[in-house]
Amino acid sequence: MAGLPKRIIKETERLMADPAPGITATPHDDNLRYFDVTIAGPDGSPFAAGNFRLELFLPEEYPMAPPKVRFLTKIYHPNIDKLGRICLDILKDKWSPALQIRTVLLSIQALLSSPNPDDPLATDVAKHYKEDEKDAQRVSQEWTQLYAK
Amino acid sequence: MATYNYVEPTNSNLVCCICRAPFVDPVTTQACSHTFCRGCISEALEHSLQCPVDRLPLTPEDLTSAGPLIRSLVDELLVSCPNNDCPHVCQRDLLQGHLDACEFLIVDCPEQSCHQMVVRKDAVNGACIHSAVICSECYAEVAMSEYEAHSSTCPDSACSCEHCATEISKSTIELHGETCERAPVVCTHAPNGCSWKGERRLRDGHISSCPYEAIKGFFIIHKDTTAALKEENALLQAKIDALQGHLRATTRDLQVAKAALGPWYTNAVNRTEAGLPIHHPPRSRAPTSASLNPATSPQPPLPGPRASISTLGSDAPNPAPASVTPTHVNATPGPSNTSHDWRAHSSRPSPNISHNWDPSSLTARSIARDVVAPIDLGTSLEGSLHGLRESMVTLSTTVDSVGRRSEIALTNETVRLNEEVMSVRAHLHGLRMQVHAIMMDRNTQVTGRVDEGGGITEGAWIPTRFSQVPGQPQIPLSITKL
Repeated sequence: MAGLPKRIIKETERLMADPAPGITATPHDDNLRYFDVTIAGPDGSPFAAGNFRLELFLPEEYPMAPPKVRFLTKIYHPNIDKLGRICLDILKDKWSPALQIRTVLLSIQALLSSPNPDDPLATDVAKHYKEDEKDAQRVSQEWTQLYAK
Repeated sequence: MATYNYVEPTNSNLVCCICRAPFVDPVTTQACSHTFCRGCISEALEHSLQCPVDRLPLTPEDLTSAGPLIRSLVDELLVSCPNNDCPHVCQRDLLQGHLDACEFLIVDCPEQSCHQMVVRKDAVNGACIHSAVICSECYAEVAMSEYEAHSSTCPDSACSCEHCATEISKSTIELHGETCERAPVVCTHAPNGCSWKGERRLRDGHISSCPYEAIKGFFIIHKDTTAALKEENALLQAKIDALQGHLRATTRDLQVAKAALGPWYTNAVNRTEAGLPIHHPPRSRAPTSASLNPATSPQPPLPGPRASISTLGSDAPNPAPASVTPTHVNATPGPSNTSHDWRAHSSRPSPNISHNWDPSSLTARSIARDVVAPIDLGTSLEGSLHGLRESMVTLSTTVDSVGRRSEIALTNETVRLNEEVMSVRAHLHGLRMQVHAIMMDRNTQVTGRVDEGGGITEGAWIPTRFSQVPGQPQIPLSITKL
């Protein structure tokens, strides 16, 4: 791989030196484009007190192309399927090179606070959330306690 | 220019949001007035025709060069030369001019046949620095590029003595220093206290007048004596060390022994402190042993078992020849005494015979008094164990003899009782006979009075009753059959 672009080096340095609250991102030693990420479940959401692990990869075209992010921890969320893929517009068509790793992870954290069942990825979970939100939140909470310790 | 090495942190307003570095050839969008590097925004527009900041539609035609203010702000940022080792720092727009002349730029070696790279400053004289040259001093082959470093350390290079200014080679300068006539030296008696300092050539003159020279002989003797004392001291020190080690080992052993002995250790210490011999007469320690061993009789023990316990000490005086007497022999008077007691008891018509058979009353006294030796803390642990074992043997023997004794006593008592029963029975028989005779007599009288029709008086039958021959029972109701 060619030398790491300065932008990635700068972003990594900032993430390590000044991490966003509730978010950590650590690059792999053998591949500085691959990050181990943890996001703390936002307070007031069914995912509170959970500690969710994610993987983040910066493709060769970054920052012209969005980073690839995926949940590794199981999560009961209408916009995250059972493979951990995330339905988030800025990770797809709404990507802008002005965004960065930090903003992407903050967006994901915000997505945990406000699930959007109208744009679902996990249709069964979205259905559950639409029909009985209380019960769906209870399941989310159970999964958080079960898997996101 | 791919990258600049900015020497100071940059104002975030001058940073391109795409490459996160200060703008290079900044352009601004006409519609939304966002500024980017020209290279960055051009590449972004190839992917998506919208402004990266606000996603408004954007085409390359909408970009205009940023104002001169922004351009000059980013052009005046200080950057350092990217070439290794070059310390040059300048404004960004001047860097290209520096690079054109930078001495640290890597260029091809000027020698056509050499394919290595050199920094530009080494190539200016046109000679290949990789070719070997001969050192003029030591005649060694040195690469041109290392010649400078070599010449400063070459052992054959000339240098001058700092004292006598003679030109000599570097490798021999140390040797020269030891003989240089002008080198500063101290008096040969400096270790003894002479404070003279001066050039070597003047030292001989000084020594002839040095006050220490006169007592040179004393110094030699003194030195020898001191050396001998030091040696002796070292020897003694070594000895002390050895002894200390030995002491430590002994102390450790003592600790182990103490731990093993437990309560016995304290007793030994008390004994030693009291200054008593280890095997003093046991009777003097009787209170101690009694208090430590409340189960034993408070009576002072017999000398026999005690003496046998304390015989471990060879220097101990044997208290009495009786000490070897086996305890069961001592106990032999026991059975005769007790059987005598039983006889005395049995001769009395005591209703509580079972009391006599109480084994405790039978044996406890004799065992406590005769055979049990209290634990003697005065001897060694081994001796005490030996004594305890002996006491055990004695005890078992005593129990055995007591068992036998009681068996014999039981048998005797049974025989005696049998005899008594027999005699009682004989007495009873006699009584029965007498009562029978009386009854018969009375019967006869009663029958006789009936037969005579009351001719006999009341008092007349008494003298005659024994002379009467028992006759036929006349009144069955009044006759008692025995």
